[in-house]
Amino acid sequence: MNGQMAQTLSFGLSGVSGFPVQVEVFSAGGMPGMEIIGLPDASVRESKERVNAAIINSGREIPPRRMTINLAPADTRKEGPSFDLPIAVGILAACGQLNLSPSVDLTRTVLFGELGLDGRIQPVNGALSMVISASEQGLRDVILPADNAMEVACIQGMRIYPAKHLSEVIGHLEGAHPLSYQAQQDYSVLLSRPEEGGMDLKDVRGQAGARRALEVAAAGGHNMLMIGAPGSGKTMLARCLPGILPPLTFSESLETTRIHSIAGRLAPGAGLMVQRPFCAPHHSASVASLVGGGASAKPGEVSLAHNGVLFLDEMPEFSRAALEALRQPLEDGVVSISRVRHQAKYQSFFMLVAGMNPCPCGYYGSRQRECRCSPVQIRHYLDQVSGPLLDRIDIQVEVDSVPVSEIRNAPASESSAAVRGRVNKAREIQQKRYRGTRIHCNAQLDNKGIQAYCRMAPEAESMLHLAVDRMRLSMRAYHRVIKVARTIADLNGAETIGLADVAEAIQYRELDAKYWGK
Amino acid sequence: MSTYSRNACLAWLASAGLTPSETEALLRENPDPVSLYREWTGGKRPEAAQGLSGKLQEMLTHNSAAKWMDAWENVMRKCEIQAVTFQDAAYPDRLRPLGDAPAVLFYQGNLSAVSDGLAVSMVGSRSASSRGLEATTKIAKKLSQEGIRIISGLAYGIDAAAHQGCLKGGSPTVAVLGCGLDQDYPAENAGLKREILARGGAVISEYAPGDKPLGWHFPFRNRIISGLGDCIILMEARIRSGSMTTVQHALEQGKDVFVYPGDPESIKCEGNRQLLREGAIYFTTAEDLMEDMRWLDKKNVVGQNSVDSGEEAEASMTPDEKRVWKALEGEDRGFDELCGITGFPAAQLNVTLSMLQIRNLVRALPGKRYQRNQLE
Repeated sequence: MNGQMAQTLSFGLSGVSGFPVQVEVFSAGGMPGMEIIGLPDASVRESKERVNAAIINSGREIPPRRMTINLAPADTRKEGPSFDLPIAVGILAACGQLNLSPSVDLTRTVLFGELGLDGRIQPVNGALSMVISASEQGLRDVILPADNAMEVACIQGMRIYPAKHLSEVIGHLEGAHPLSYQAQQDYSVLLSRPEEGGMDLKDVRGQAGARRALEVAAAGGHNMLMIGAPGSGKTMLARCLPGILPPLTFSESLETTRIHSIAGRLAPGAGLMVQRPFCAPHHSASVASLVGGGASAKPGEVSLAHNGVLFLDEMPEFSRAALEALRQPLEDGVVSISRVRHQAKYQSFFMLVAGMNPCPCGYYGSRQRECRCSPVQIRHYLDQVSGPLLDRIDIQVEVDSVPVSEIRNAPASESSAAVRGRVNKAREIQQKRYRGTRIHCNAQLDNKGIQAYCRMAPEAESMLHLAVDRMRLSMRAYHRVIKVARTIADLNGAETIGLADVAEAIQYRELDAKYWGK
Repeated sequence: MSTYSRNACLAWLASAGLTPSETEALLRENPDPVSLYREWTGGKRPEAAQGLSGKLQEMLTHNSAAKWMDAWENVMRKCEIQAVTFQDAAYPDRLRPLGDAPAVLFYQGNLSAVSDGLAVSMVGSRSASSRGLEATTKIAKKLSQEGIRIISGLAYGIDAAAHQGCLKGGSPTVAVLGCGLDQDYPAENAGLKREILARGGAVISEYAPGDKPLGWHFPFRNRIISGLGDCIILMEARIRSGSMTTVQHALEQGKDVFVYPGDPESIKCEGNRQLLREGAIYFTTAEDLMEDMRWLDKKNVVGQNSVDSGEEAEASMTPDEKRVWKALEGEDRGFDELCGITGFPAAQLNVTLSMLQIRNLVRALPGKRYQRNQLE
């Protein structure tokens, strides 16, 4: 018997983008067997066992022939089980077991999905990236796992066929039981859904100073450092931050969801992300888990926090190398990871929120308990946080614990929604001001930007100079104060930075002198 | 055999491992340390040296002593370290009555600052409260303005505040170290040490150059701190602390012990409370102390106490500032507390606090607390 060929189309992943993969199946006489070539990794190579069982459990059979499966381009590594479905369909086609309906063109239909032994189709990582790439290639038809369908529902101009079982795919391709394609969804529909979970600021009692600092940080996208005794509420405050930030825009959501999809962090059946991500890696985190890496250059926490919040609790406990590695993403908003076999660039524009104790025992300056640390111990502890990193944090605030009796009596606080209203307004002002530039928010202003956009009233300027002198502010702190004052003025709806704006901003900078000053 | 300077020979003698009284006895017999060195390393070993350990004996032979001597010559010249012995006329008279007075004393700076006029020893904890530090500086400054010198130990915390206060008041101050004078210890007070020397003060130690700051040096050194003062002030101390050993030395030396009350709640002041209960002298201002020491006539004291510059500052305040200023009367308060008392929202309170801080009227404490500044 002569050889038979079949070809199906799938997508592989490289960094955040997908690339087309031709799955060629050649069936020939000879010793029965199956070989997958084209730089497959272990999970792709194991695919043949899954495919075998899945085909049998879908009511078809594999004739005893020699099967060669090539994943082209042959010089790029292929990873993950998403090629199961195109391989299975290719084999059926090559063995003449598939009576293709005339309306189906296998070379123009994107297939991906992992197969279970029973023929069920499981969700895969990176579906969003693959579909975006397919759309860029001008492809329209995609058959994918039903659990990935919501994720790609907002991509316009595509015909997405969600499938749950291999037999459904076969039925569709043969025209016997065509699958119905999913209705396209508009992002605004997602936005209008009630938000779920997360912390609300109305549950935070007391902490007037820290709440205000959080509002200013959110309004200007400023990085923030909270210092306070254990149990003073640093983590709780940080968790409230995503709730007062403006929701993700469509393009931001695509960027962030893509990264989460590739990292396998999306729940099955989840759609595009609407709320900003909040990542809180433990302080034992390695450099690779923070900025990304591993053999296949996976995204790290900084990229998962893209367009959202990265919260580092107990910052001095993080390894020095891990903290230093944060500097590039903080500066550029992107991390480049290079491994021998993979290079990837992941966006990582996030708000850094750091929490730390003021000393090893945690009670330096606290009213609740006496600190038992020596001055040298305190200094060593604080010095774990390097100056360059500290310089990238605009807002510093001390959080003092609220006594239980006061928590009980405190009136209910303002809700996150109310604060978000003000934050949104301030952000809109910034968007208007920075239209046509690469700046999104005040935190991104560099020295040139400060010159251009931060006009100060004369009395504000003279007071700032006085403050630099009296409160021992460094030159770097000086610029940070102006940026934060810009945000406070935006919150007040003022174009010129006034005396009060600067005076308040100074309060968010005094820890330099108090803790790190000399 | 090359000859070494008197200073180097005294450094060698101070390192020989003898007790102060043994060294003193040797020097009484032979007041010239250079010839003492020559005889000893030449093989004529004094009786006092019989009981020394092998390592010290080895060091005292000529060959191994020689390499030390060169180092001492160098470092003492470079750091301008001088030495005096008990027999010298320049030796501080206040130390002579001490039973275990150091036989050799090394010093940098102006040795007459150690003996001239009135002096008060000030001691306290390295990790002191901000209130304690502030009071220390204030009292030291006032005493210094009256021409009274401050003796302390150049440690962090109270010691450093005492030296700084004294410098602000214009009188020279003396630091007694627990290590060789060439050692920068504690490293962070190196600048303060330079300043002490530049302003006519002295830094002294009974340890030879090169001696490390070992833990047991300090309690022993404390007898010199208490010995050099006409009286001693304890600012803040835990019960088991070096400051309490200094007080113990002072009591043995028959000095008056003045104890600052400190925060009655704080564990940092538990030593203060114990001493006050045992009958130490209670005081809160420099005037109290000078009155008790009969260094001041009464009329003067009364005049000093009635000064209140707070009103003057208050007159220039905006209504917002006045409200916060009032809320801070008498005690420090947290940010939330101030919000509650003044009724200001956080933003407004931030603004007001900044203004007060810039005008040096209020200062921030660790833990987001605020305090009135002591007005000058």
